[in-house]
Amino acid sequence: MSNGEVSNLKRAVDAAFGSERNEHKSKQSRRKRSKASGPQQDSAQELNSIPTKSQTSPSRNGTLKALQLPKALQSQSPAENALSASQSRELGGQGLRKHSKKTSRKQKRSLPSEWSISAAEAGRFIDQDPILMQTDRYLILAVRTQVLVYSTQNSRLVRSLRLDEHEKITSYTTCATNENCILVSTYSGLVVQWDWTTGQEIKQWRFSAKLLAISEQSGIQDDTIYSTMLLIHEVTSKTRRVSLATFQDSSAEIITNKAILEENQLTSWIRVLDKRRCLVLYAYNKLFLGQAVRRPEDPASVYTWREIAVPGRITSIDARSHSSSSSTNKKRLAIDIVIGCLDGSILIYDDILFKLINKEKNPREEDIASRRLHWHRNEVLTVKWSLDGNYIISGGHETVMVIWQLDTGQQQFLPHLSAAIQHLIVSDTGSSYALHLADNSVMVLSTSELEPFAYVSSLNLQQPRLHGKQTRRIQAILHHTDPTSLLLAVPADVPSGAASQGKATLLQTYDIGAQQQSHRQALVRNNITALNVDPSGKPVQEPDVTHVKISYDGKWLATVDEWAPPADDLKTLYPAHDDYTPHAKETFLKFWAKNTSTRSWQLVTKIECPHSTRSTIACSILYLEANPQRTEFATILSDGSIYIWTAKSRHRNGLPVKDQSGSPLYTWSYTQTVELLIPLKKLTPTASALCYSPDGSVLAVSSNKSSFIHFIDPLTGNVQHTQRGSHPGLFSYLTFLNHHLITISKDLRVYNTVSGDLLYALALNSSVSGVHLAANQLDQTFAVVCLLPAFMSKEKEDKDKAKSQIMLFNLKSASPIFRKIVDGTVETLLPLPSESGYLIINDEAEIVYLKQPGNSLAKRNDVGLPALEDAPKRMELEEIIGRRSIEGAGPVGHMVNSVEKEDESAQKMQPIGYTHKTQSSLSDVFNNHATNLPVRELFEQVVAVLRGGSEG
Amino acid sequence: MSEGRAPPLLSSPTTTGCYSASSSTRSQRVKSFPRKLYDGPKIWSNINDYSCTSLHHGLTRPEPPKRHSSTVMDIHRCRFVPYPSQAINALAFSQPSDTQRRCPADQRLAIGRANGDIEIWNPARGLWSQETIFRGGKDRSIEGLAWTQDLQDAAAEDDEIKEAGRLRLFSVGLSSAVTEWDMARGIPLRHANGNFGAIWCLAAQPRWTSTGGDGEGHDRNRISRQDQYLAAGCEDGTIVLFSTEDGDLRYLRTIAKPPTKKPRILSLTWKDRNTIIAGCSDSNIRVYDIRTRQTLRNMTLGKSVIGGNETLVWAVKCLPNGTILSGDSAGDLKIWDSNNYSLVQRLHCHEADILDITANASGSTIITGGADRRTVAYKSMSGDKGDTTRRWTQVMHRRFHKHDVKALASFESQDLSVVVSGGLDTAPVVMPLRGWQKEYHRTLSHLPQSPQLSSAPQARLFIGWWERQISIWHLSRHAEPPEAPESLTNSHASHKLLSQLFLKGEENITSAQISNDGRYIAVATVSNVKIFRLRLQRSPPDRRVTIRTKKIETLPSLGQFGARLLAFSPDTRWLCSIRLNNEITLVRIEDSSDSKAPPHFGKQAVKLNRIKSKTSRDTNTAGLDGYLDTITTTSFSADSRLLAVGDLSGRIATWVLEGLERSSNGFVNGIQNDRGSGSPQSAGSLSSGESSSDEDDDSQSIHGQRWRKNPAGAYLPNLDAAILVLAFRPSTHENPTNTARSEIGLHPTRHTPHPRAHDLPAGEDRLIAMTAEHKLVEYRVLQGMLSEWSRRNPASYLPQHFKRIRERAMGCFWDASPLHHRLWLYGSTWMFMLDLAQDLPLEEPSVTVGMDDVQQAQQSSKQNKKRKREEFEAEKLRQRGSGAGGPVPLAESYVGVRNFSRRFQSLTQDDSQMIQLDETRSAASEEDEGSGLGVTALTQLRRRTEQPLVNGHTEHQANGVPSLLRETSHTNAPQSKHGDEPASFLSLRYRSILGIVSIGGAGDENRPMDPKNHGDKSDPESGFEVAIVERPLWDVDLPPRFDGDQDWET
Repeated sequence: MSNGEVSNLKRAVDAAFGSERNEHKSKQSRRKRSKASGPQQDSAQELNSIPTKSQTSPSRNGTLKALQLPKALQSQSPAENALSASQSRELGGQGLRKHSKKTSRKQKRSLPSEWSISAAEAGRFIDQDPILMQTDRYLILAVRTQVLVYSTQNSRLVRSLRLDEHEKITSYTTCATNENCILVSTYSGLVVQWDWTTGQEIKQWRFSAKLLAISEQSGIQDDTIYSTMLLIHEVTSKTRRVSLATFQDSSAEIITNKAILEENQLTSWIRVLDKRRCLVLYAYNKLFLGQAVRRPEDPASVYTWREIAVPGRITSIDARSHSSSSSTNKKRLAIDIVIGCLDGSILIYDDILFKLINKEKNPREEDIASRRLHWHRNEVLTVKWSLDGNYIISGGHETVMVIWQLDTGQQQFLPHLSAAIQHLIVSDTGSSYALHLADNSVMVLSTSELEPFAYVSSLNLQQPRLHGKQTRRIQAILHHTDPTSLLLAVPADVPSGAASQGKATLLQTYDIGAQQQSHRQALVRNNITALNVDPSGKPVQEPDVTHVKISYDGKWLATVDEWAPPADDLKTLYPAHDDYTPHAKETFLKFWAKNTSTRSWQLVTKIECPHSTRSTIACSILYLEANPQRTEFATILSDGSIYIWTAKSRHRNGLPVKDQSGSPLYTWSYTQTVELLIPLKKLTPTASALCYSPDGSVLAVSSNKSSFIHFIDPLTGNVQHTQRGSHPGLFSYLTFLNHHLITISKDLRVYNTVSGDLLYALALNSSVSGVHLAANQLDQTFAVVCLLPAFMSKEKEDKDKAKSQIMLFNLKSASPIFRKIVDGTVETLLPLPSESGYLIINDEAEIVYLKQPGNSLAKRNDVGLPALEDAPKRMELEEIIGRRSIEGAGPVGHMVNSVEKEDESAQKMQPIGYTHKTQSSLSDVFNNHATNLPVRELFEQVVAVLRGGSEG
Repeated sequence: MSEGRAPPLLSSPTTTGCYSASSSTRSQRVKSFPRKLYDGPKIWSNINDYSCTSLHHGLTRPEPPKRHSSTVMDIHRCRFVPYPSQAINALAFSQPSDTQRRCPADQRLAIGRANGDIEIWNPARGLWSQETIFRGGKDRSIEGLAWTQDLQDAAAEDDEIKEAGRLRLFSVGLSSAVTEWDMARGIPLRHANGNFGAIWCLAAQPRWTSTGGDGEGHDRNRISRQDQYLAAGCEDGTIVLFSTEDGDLRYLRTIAKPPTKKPRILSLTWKDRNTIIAGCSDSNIRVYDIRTRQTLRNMTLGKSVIGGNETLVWAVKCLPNGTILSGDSAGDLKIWDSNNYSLVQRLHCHEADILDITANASGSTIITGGADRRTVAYKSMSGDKGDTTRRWTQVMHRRFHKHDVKALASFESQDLSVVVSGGLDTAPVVMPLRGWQKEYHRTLSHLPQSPQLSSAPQARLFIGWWERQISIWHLSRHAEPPEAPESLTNSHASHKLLSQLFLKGEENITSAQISNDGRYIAVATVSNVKIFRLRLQRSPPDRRVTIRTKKIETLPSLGQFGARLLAFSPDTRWLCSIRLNNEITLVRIEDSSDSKAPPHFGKQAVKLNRIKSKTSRDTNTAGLDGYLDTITTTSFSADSRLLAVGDLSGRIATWVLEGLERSSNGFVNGIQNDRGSGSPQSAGSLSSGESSSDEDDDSQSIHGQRWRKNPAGAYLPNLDAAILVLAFRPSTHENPTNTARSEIGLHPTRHTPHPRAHDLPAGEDRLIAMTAEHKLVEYRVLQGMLSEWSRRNPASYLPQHFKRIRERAMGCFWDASPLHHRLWLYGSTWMFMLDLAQDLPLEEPSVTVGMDDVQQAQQSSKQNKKRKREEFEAEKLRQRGSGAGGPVPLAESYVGVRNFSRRFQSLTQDDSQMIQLDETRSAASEEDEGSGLGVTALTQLRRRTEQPLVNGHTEHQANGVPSLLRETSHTNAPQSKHGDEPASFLSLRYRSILGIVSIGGAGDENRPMDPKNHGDKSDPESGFEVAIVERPLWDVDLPPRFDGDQDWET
């Protein structure tokens, strides 16, 4: 099925859902507030509180304010600048209000002027079978901190049951006694019983050990209903313990809690059969069959365990019990087990327990044989019995759901699913399958026609464990004109098998409002359902989308993808070279136009291996940036040249070519090339950054082979100005906030580009690799995220777990106005395009917002930016450059927290003699664009020119 | 040289100058080790690999060996012999499955091939040796095989009880005839023909049993008819019954009249003795009653969904409970109820046509093979055996074959339980049936057991023969001395196909031999023997070799009878031909003085008859009476004065050439001219009435010489299995252990006080024999006793790694020098060297270990014991196994469960209890160790009391510490004179060996006979040379596969 269909489905109910969700959100927050006074508070206290918590506590806010900069130092911004900035903010604010009532409502509720990080949304579905409830009407899934209830009627989220953000859900299961209830276990040992229909929490237990899985059964003894939880604890990193905890249904008190099995390598899969008379567990290649010695209702029941080793490593398993009649015996219970193995084979053991017992009694009994079905090439990720036991349904990396009819040996296939099948369930009614795919989506199919009727998809980021190797960043952008659309370059399959490599090949459009994927399309070829191994058995390499940017109006998308053949194949072709990859690398710059009717992106121009004329070695594109004011993209290549790309309408015989609907067709080509000066030419950079000023008139460039930051006029291609920037060997992350340029290499520096002054500098006590920098022009803040070095973590056991520091600055102060340390790494930091705040995606594929909820834009103007109005005068850029000789631009000692002393001598910079045209005039606008642009854009351009002129 | 298997000598870290021997099988001139470091005797020197097209000798030419050049063996690795392996079309076991008995001794497997050959394999003890090949002919093919067994009246008067009698083999080809084969002579015995179309399938009626099967109760004629009918299904839709009564084969009646559409009968099976199931090409299965000739039922499968073609029912079979199985072109296995003929189940586990079906004896397992190369096993789900509603499921599928699986045959007994499958890829695969999850399958060789090669070492020629053609190759000397740079230019022509002979007539060649000097080629078919004369010419400029062949007229007594085996004596004076009736005919080859004139092939032939074995045949093998007398191997001694033949029953017969040659007397000195044994009449049949105690004066004397029975021949015992290899030792006069002369001096006084005793040959008389069970014995033929070596080295002393080999020996060759007597044995996948000048190392620590070494010995023996124990268990398991490959190690099994289950209750698991799930896999029985120890003790005694063989080897045994690695102790033991000469050596480097022939050099018989010459030889290139002819399966041309899917190797 295509994702487009699903997204259509979703769109149909979009409006309805939005309100539903909002109601739910408000409920949720109410619940949260009530929770704070509830009994759980104790439990929350037990948690190891993260040390940074105190920093964000209100008590510290005062000290933060006290660190604000002296007014005199902030007064360099021109007043006009501030004025125009506020205008633009007004515009943005209106748009925002139009877009989202939610925000305003929230703002009313929230405390004013406090930056905070919101609770996580989206996220990765945990590695467990999904649950279908109430005759398949609801699908229950879980992410790290919340259990999500989706309706299968419209694939919409109807309820989320949220835990404290430090909890980590490990497992969830249905209640045996009440089908409206689910039990959720967390890694810290918490078990919560929830009524998922109402969202009410019913009971809560806390166990001392770390919980990995839970399963629940009930029984009646002495007219009392007992429920028993089967818990799998993590004792050590290897050892797992299974314990039985019994409680009376009427009260929450645990009557007994005893361990019944302790074993190494035990997985967190457990199957309870026949009212707890038989338990099935597995570890690596061993199967554990527990048989209750006494009546299983007895809380003190003992299990006899039988451990057998099966040939091959178990990767998936399912067990079922059914009554079997044989001529000699009366009815007894037979246990059939199906096992998926690492080598792709499926082993079926019929009536295994009975045979084992028989064999113990009589060794001459027939050998225990298994049936072996082999279709899968790679490991069988999931295998299930059908309800009647006549079929086996299996799935794996082949992206094919296989239905085995055991009686006839026939196989039925459902091929070309979007990703590997990680989990698969047959619903209790037998009428639907739910497939958890490796692209972080869940699909519900009818068993009769294999028609999908519900599809839930979340952010499809790569698994963090593989991400450690890659320095590449996740390419994510927020759509400028449709602020709920988050565009991500994602892999087709989360890499866990041999076939997938985690290369980003798809563009996923995620609706952050609806928390659903709204669209997905391929940007390059991918091998997810095709033959993906070469004749020698190695995986076929996919291209990798390295950059994605969207034009200011949201109508154009530019992507860069690279493909390099495997190094082994190149050795023979380039025997003289040590490093083969540059020679055979294929780089494509592609421009896509939005098709408004299908919501997909249509490829308009594909530029192969750009700039290859200049050197024999293929260049890769180091950075791609979109002009925030014009339909224009800029790229920098590894040979140090910068290209400015613009769209031209296609002409044939002097007439513009139009498509069927009558709109003109465009083609993309470069209008300017800039050869950067001396340092870049000799040393080809390997990393670089580009940044447009907010008015689109200046393009700032930094690279890791030069410590200079160049300012380029994208219209003329002239290097207008060069400034000493980063440390050698490092490149600077760049962003503009108004006319201030913020750079981070080893330290954070804020320059006033108008005056050429260093506003302030701040040493970042962190590794540079995980740095993210973003500025939000609307609230005049910029945010920095950096990875904390491992030794910063106080807790020893979490040493391997990375922590990130999120800091928020404004231009006034060198100290952050907000700071928080969060677990994990941050993948992307994006300013919200139409409102204040930032969107952060972390490595758990969760979205969190850094927001100032109570602060309306108007208020923020008053509070945050009064100082800007004190700026004494407007300054022309000529003046700046003309008088600029950077001696005076050294760091100001008293206003930085720590200064890089050793770099001072390097701060000297050659004055650059370019004359610079600061203002784009209206005539420019009309001459250049008038013929192409619609009225609205023209208007915006006119405004931009006026504003840009004022800003300089 | 052979990776991992070579003695440590060869793979020692001092191989600094080594020419990358182990890295590639394609290396050209590979030297195994640097001669500077080891200038002692070597085993290998050079390998010429003709499988590789580009030869460049300059880089890898070995430096010449400094001394002991005679111990260097050069190897020509040849893959250019295009031996055409033939597809297997039919498989049949001679005896039906019986799980209550052990495998009967007359159990044989007949394999019918596409060129009309029928191979008879003996599966005894899971050894799978190919015994004989009944040769086919031009345009013949075997499409179906069936065995019946006649019933003989038992000694008891009860006429209801009959003993099993003769086994009879029937085949059908691409004609309308059913052929019965003469098992003893290997030729068709009789044909039954009729006026119907070509026969497509053949099925023998189930054997009559006194207890009666399930359909037997209805047989009113039970007593009157106890023989088996044959049913043949024909192209025109008729089913014809043949009667095998009274040892005859007669057309009996036609059961089914062809329907109007005349569908082919593709498959036939007997449900019981009265009911025939026929699978037809019109999507129908028809059931007939042979008594009423009526169609009981017509079961329709329906046309195929795609294309609407008729479904072809390629295979039908019945389970013991009557359930009918059918396999069809849709790939479906259909299971039909036996009572109401309704479809019970349909299993689609093949992706292409199912071509054959078989089942185990109890009917709980079904095996199908198909055109998708799969072999699929099905098992019935738990349920009662008689329950017709029980369901079947696929338990596994494998791709054992590289092409279509055409035929399957299963056999189950107490010890043997296998399914044999064969198909277009020509190699039979033996798959375990009972132990299907515990044992490996085994692929038998696709090449004949007896090498179809012969060489003329002196002329550097060798011939290969198959079907009706002979190819003659010349192998040039590759090891030119470095001083001769022109060798580089010549090297590309290292082998050359000189000529090809195509025989007239339709019969395939049964044997072809080239004489040692390369002057004659003798070719035998089942109808005649032909002799060709070769004239080798070397044109001087480039020394190119050309050849001319000319047919020579032969004696009628030789030429007009077919032969199954031919042999030239080493001196090319005698040609021995074994006739189809196992009569041995010897012809003297007489060169004429004029080289242009054709040579005489003795005007008279000497006929030798073996003593009819007195021991009454085991009743178990009564069915194969006569067949077991088939002579499979012959050998002349090096001086051509001793002849030995061995047969399938393990009997060895020997003859000696008496008297001294008096060539001046003319050709025949006419002593006993009047005995007309050269006449065809008496040669025609084995004279069964011939007295076994006859005086052997019945052969003529030629040139004063006379072939007579070896007077001590009667002392040679019958061996317990078929003789695979017979070879006299080459004589080496300088061998200090050769006491032949003195013993011959004793000999006449002890055994034959004959006046002509001094005329008995004085040469080497030691004869090596290897049986199908790989028992190796050496006799002193003239004394009728075991040789010293054999007494000191019983077969149980053979190295373990050799005993583990499953592929049977195909042949042997000698590499003898004063220092070693190397016997090289080879099978289809291995080469094994045994130095008969040395004792085999002891398997167990000697009892005479000195006290000093006790501690060390204990330590090492512990490990030794452990290792030996494992080997022993593996060997036991192999013997206990079901006859296919060895037991699957637990780590590699792919179905079922591992051996043990563990049961425990408590959390701490301290009450855990291991429960063995499979006793056969782990139970190491304690039995059978005693006998081995007894042999050991006796041998120990012999080794100590008797003279050392060559050197102080027994002392070495006594003093030496039994070391962990046997090879090490023997290859590097410095105290031995033999120093670095291994006593045995096994190489698994060469695969699919069609045969190994010795080539060039001085020949293995010239050099020892001329010690002076040998001493002068400093030419390193006179080393021993052999050509290993390989014919790997991947070189065999297979037709394109119908099912091209999934081409990866499994």
